Amino acid sequence: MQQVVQYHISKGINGIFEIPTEAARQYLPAGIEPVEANHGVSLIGITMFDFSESPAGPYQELVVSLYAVPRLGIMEQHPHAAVYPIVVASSSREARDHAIDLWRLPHFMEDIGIEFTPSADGRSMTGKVYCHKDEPVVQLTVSQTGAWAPMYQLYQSFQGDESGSYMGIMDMRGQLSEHEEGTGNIRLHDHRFFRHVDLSVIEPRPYREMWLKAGVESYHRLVSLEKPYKNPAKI
Amino acid sequence: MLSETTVRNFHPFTNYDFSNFYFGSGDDVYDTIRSFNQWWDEAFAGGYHIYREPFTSAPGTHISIRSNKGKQLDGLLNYSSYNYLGMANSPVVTEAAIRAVEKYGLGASGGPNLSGMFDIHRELEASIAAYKKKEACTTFNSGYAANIGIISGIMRSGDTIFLDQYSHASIIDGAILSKAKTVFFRHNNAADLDRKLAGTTGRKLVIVEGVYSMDGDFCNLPEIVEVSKKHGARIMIDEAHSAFVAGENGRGVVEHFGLEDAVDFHMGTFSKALGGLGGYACGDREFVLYLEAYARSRFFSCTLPPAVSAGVLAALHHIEANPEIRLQLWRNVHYLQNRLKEAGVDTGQSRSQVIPIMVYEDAKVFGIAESLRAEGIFLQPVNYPAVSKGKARFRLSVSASHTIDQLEYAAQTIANVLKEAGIPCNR
Repeated sequence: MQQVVQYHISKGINGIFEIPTEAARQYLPAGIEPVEANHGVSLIGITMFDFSESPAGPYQELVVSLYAVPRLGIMEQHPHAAVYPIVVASSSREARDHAIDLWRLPHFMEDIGIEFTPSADGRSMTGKVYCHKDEPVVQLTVSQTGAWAPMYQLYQSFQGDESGSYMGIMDMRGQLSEHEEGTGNIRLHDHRFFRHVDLSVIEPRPYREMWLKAGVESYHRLVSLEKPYKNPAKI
Repeated sequence: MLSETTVRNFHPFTNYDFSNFYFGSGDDVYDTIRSFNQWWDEAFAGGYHIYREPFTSAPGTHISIRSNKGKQLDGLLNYSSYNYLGMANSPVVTEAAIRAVEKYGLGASGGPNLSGMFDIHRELEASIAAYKKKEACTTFNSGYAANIGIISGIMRSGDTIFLDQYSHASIIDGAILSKAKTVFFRHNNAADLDRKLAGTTGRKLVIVEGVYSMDGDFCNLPEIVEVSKKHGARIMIDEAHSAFVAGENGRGVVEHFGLEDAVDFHMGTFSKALGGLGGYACGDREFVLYLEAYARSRFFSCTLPPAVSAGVLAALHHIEANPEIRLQLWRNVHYLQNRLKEAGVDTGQSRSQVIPIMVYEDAKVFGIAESLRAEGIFLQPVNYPAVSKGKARFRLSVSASHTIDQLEYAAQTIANVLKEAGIPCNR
């Protein structure tokens, strides 16, 4: 049995945005269906993590992923959600190699860095992603409303490479702020990180905003899937 | 398999909601069904038991219910029913229905185009058309059937339907059935609609609601109409919660804004202000004739029971003859809205008899519902996914039948219970 691998999260922000389902389908391989928030409306997530501790040391990560229909009958517990990462970027080569070797995640092969800046009142957090320290990639702001609540959610993640198709099983825990007030914002730059993503179809106002602090991501295992597929955005 | 530690730390009830069990792929349909049932066992015990409890009385201002915990609860003050004008249990209405049962029997025993059309149906349709000042009207056996029938009856593949993001499920399902492309615009946001209509070619239909059922706010109809007309789109309005209630003469939000003729297709229900069951579509003769031929939810379904039609017709005549009932409703609405606001209760953007009592925190709403019930108030909570995440609330319905004493008690009790639960006032 694979060892559970833990990643300690000092800061994590996630903006979920609407895109047309017909656009979402273009990224997904056969056998993976997009989740619809409403008829014809699918969801794409832009997530930024600051990992304070991990097997690859401290690092930062940017993930662009689609929300997908989870697979049932494999896990003992019902997954909270499933994602299909389109592209991932990391702040170090070690982190990148680690995620590719262990979890087969599709990566942008250049280093990025994320500057996290809380607002003066502490009610919002902005993450600015740069490539090679000076090329702006994306800026995401999420806000916090209501109370911080403990979260423990089980996820599936679909990914693959030349060796096969896989489903990662992980859980996330920590203190979470989650809402659909639409008060956050995003700025997507025309950068080569997004060369496989059609930015024009992404609704600019967030459908949902999540902000995680004092969190832990536990990656339980990678399940080999029978039907192979190819990541159309593989870089 | 997950580790034992993981499983022990897992809290199915609080970590899940109805949205989690809608999607699921795999080899067996029962994987989703069983997962839902496992969650439901804990969710039910954890708070969801307050749903689906049977009433053992009429849905008046005071009700009796048989709780899912096996208790008979009598004399609860009811702020959850849609009985806005008190017609559901009005003797005028129930006596008309009893007479119709004696004359026509229980059901229509047929669809409207073959053997299910009765004189009472035609009388009801003519009366609704006259009340709404429209050329024609046709009826459906529910509001849901009306929306899916109207929308899928007139729109086709290749057309585009523009929906407010807070549209009722029946509107969305009608759009899905039509096979037209669906585009959602931000709630009540004419600028967003304008942006999305621009560049769309072909047949276009914009659908809005008079009063939105979870927030109680009015449709921003003047701007929606202006933008729709600019782009050559037709407009449909669902006045389920506003017909017979809003406007100087109760003709709905379209009358309130003086836009009765600017909207092409008018839909409403008989289950709210008129206290019965069913839905209607009205507009010009051409539209209604076409709908009676192509609205499949009407064509292929048994017609409304004649007794229900008779009761609804009696309710319509009664409120037409007694406009003070509607005026009393609005006095009650203003009284309760003001008292709640004075007490610091957050009622969102409501301007109608539908008043959200905002709690925001999903985890607290069930406990507050229990506390309200202990104080004699029946008020049902609404949480995700029926409303946005983090926007849990109670959906309070005011009736013309509520007395000032009952409204005052509700305002004070709600404010006190929210305060005790630590819900911040006036966010």
